[in-house]
Amino acid sequence: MPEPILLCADRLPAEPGTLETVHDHLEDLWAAAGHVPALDRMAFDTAVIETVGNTIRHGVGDPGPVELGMELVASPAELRATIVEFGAASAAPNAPLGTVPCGGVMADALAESGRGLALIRALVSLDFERDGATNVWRLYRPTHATEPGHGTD
Amino acid sequence: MQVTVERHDTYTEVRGEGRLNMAAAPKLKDVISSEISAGSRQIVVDLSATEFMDSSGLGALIGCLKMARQAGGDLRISQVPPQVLMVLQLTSMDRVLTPYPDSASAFSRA
Repeated sequence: MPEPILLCADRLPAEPGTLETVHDHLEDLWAAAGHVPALDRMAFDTAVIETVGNTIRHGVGDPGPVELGMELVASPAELRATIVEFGAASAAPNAPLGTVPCGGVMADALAESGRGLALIRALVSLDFERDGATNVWRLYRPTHATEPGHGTD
Repeated sequence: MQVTVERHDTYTEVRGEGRLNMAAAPKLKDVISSEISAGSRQIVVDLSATEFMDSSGLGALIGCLKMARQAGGDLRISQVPPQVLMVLQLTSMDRVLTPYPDSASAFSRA
């Protein structure tokens, strides 16, 4: 069985240009983790980019600008991502501890926004935690290495 | 993302090459908005070279669809790659933005 692949990034500015950096890190992860089936890569890419995009769109600095940290792990049987918003106001100020902010309900047919969290939840398990002055988002997806055609593009 | 436009007799083809995410979505919207303002009514977005789309990119396509319809036209999508199709299906937007196999066929039975 392949060893877990770990990839970390820190102090990324919470701005749209950072999405390209995250895409590059995901490509590096897949280059090192050839055992992960194409469908799981696609789902994980989408969920990670949506989550980072969500933090860029909605993250509020407290008091300075928000910075992002990221850890991506590809194990033999699962994919995990931890995305941390440093110096951010709570993404769930009035919610009970452990509650994922905002609902996972899909937006109306012709709405131009409001699909991000529902899309993430359709692709991965999502947990949220408020830890000091940081928001921590944890994504988890089991991989399907026994399916026919795994590991191919 | 590189956005290019090609005008045909019956439709205008807009091709997006690269990643259609939060950073690129306004550019696509600007280009299509300009085309509609210039008189194009039947828009086909060729997604064959769009390697990734997130919900911001999807939002831009929906915004453009609404602009086209408000102008009396329509917007359709063609050559949709697997990741983009996955996002469309998971959000049920494949019912609104129906994928066509190629741009020429998108309005052939309008």
